[in-house]
Amino acid sequence: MDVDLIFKIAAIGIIVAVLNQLLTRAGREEQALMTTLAGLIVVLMMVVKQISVLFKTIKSIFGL
Amino acid sequence: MNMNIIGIAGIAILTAIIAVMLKRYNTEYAVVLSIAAGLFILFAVFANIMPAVKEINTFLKSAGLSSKYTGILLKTLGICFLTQFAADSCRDAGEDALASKTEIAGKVFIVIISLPLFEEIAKTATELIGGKG
Repeated sequence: MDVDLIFKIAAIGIIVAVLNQLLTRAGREEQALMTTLAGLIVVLMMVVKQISVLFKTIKSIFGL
Repeated sequence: MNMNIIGIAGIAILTAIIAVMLKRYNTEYAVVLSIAAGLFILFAVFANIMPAVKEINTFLKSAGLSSKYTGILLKTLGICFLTQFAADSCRDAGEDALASKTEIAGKVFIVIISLPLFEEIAKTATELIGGKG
């Protein structure tokens, strides 16, 4: 796992926040919601992969 | 992956600042960000703990403890790590109820895993009293 992941997530969060504000101001609430949702799913996929690696590591170290 | 404590502290503070900034716009990203940072720190810890666990294993073996007990000890430690991680993540997301339920689950599993040890202690106690265990 790399530190880059943390900054990647932060960048996605900031971009999505800006897009959300832009779309909301333009009167497209549904698309703003969809953007937020899509960004969240992308970020979750990235984190879930790492969580699975963490669980495997704990399993192998502590012999669960 | 070989991180020192200064690097870990820097990552933690940096992530906390970014998370506080993100929380104003969308809370869920702040939660995911802090979970990712926690994952990173845990990975750094586990990369360094791996040789230590092996060392502890050889220590306990030379002390004459059977590997059954060391296995139980390490398993309990692993469950503690997992439970703490999950519960803290839930608490970060504002789900206190879910966090305490995860902790209850962890406690129950630890008791279940350590039941053979209780049995052993009870057997030793009855032998000391002189009863027929």
